[in-house]
Amino acid sequence: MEPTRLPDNSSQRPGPERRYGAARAWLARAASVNWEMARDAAPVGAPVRGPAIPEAPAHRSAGAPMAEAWPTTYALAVFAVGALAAFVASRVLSPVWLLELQHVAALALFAVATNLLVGYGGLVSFGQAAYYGLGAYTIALAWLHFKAPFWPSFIATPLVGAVSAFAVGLVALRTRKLYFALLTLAFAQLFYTVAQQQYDITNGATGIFGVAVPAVLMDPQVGFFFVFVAAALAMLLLWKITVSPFGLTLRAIRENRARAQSVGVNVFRHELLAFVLAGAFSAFAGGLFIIHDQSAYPELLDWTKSGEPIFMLVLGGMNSFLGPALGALVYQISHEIIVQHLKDWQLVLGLVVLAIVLFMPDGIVGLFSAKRWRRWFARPQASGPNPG
Amino acid sequence: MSVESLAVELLSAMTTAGSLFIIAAGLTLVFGAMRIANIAHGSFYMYGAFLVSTIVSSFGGGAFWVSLVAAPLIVATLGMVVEVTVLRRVYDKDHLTQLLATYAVFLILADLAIRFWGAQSRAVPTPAILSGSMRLGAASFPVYDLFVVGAAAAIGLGLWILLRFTLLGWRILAAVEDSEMLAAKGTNVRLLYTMVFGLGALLAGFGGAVVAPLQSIDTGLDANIIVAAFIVVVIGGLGSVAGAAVGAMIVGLFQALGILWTPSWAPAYIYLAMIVVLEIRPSGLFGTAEMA
Amino acid sequence: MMRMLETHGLSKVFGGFRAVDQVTLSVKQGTIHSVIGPNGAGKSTLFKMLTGTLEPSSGTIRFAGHDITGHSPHVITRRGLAQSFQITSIFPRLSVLDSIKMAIVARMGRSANLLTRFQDRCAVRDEALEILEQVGLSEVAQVQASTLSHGDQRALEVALALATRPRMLLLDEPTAGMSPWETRRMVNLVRGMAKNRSLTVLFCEHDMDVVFEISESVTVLHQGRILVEGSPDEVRRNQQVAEVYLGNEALDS
Repeated sequence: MEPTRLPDNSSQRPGPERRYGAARAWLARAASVNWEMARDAAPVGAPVRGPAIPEAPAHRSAGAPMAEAWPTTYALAVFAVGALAAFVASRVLSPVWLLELQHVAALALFAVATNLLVGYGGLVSFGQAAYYGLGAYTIALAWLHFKAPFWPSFIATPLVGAVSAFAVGLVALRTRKLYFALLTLAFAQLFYTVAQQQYDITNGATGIFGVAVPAVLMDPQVGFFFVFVAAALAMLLLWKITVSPFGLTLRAIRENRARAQSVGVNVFRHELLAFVLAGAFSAFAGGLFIIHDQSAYPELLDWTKSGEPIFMLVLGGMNSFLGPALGALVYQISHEIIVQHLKDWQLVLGLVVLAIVLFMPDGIVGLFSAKRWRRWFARPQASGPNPG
Repeated sequence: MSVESLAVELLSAMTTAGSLFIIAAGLTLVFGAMRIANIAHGSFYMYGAFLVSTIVSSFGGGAFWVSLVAAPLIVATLGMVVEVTVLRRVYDKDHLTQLLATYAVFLILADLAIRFWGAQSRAVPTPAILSGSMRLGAASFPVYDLFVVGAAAAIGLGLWILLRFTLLGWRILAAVEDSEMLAAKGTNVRLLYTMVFGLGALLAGFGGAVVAPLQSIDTGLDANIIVAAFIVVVIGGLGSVAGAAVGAMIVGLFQALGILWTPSWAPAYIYLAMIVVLEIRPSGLFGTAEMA
Repeated sequence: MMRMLETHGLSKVFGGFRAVDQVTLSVKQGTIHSVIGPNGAGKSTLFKMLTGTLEPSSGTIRFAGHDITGHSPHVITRRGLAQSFQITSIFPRLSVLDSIKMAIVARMGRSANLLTRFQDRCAVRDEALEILEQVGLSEVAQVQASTLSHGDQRALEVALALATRPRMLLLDEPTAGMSPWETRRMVNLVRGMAKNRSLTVLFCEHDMDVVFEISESVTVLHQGRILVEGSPDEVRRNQQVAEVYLGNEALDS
């Protein structure tokens, strides 16, 4: 059944088929769209197409306009700039800093991956550390028991994360909200218990130390650059997912589950896919952690570790794509500084989290929203991320 | 295994169940009436235990009975302060925000506990009357265990009376059903919430106090108990005190049996129990779908 | 003319309460059919069974010749039966355009597409904009859905249903809470849709003016059972209907 064709609004078309033309048109649109949209509200009393109707009174919507998603070229540019900055940093910063930033990069990926579930999907999971830890343990166990070389294990981490997330998701995603949060927490605790108790397999509470990592990566400069670029590439992939049809569908599911279902979406399958993706990327982040630390221990799986990416995404702002990464940076650096000088890390963290949830629900990124800076980080709406 | 040792194991399981029930009852009531999952509930439990140890070490072993009353009351006050200062601001916010707020309180209280009581673990001696064991045939039951079970039963009975026969109890049950309606009928819901939260904290504090002589009291108590408490509450069904009782017994049994059969897998049993229960009844044994 | 939707002996029982009792009706393709009845007559329950939200206690539902009794909502939508909700149910924090794009993508089966920006390409975007034109929401395409006025949100509801290219549309009280102007707009919209797209429309309504203006046939429900069925004139003149509605003023034209 073909819809009737109405007059052509070609000014709103994205552009011709040739790639160059399309890219140019994208850029033009991205550059122009914010300013125009930000300036106008819907005109009052505008006529409506169709049969004649009495005058439109003044209750047309004057709603809040939203900016469109970044074009892909923007994201690639950000990635390029980031890689360049990382290269410069690797030449300039001290080894101590470089090692610490390695850790930050892994955590940033972990946080961004968690945000796919929590921010974009509206699924609050308190057990994401299970996959982070599993990623680390994959490499560690393969080395410990089979003397497996590094690279195959490293590449296998997302697979391990995906498979375990699939298994957990099949069970956990039948429940909602608090039950879901607690179920995911229970699974993480299950993994933690296994890691801690099964001494023969996992070395128990001591953990596995001295995992063999390629010598070239042990150099702080090379190691940092590698971890940063690997994490950044993974985040680029994640970004692509958030601006894809799947990302749009996921957001719609977050907004209104029943409506998404009534429009023809199999909600369970989409949520499961989001869960699997988050697990895969979190496990990859765990693999990056091994490069940083060469060790895997049960605490990586604990529920308190699961709280960390949640803090990071709240701290940085869960309404934007990169917010959680910024949150990871701030969190980890503050943690290192505060733990060295004071003993009250928990107090500070508790107070900061409280302050943020009460007064700054958009996180650090939200602080910039008053200024034009917003275009580079956040989407200007109340809450709930949209691609950017 | 002989009947006597089985009986002793069962008593041990019931002791665990009893203490879990006292704590979980408070947690589930708060959730039922206020729809808040209070992670800081574990902190209240820990503070109850620490307060008992402080009172007993300051005033001697005889003060134990006083501490059983004083500690919960102090914790209840602390709870009400938390409710007024923090919780009131997040009632209208989304679930994640509420969870984070209670988690933040948990962190703050944990830190303050270290500051106040130090990182060393403590012990509380069992009061003289309740120490030792009772012999029944070939088995010997620790007397204190019986005390704990008795205390749990008393709490259960007290809550039953409260919820069934008192005005406060009716209001709490009504809030569990529909708090908007309650406000519309003129009940001071703000005050009710404060009192319910205080009651929850009281129960947590009492749970910590009662169990104090049975374990070493250190600053990891809050994290350890809160997970078990949530599992009990979820198994039983959010908002149901009867569910908390049944859930506590299931968890207590699983823990005891787990340690007997396969000690290395024992901690995992309660998680498995929760997963199995939720598969069969996604809202818990006595829970309703609207709760979550 | 084919029967687009048929029910046979459809019932829903809650405990001892018969919300819907042995309802047998059929809607012919391309027509506008309405269901009316006093509050509690079972209209909402009937609709919920038709869309798969509730499972019938007994009876069958056939849509375009296929049995859809008890199927889940997303399957029924894929068969071509779309609905708009009585209580406005949209995606609050998505933009209007994104909401429609999402529905189109879902219809095309591309909602799990991970690595393209399919929804921003011509085909989807054009169709979305065209649907918005039809319902009169073009100017607010970039606006966040939750900030729309009530009338616009209801129009968005209908647009979402249209995006699934349905063969039949179920509208649950489409003009609820609307001003006269908004109501007029909705009436024109429904009429236009049925004509331009050869859609079959089934709606339930309380606004009798609307019912009698655009319906081609009317079913009256009372206490879960069908009381009367026929053309608007027949129903309007029917004595039983007048009694059931507590007084005749509601039906006076």
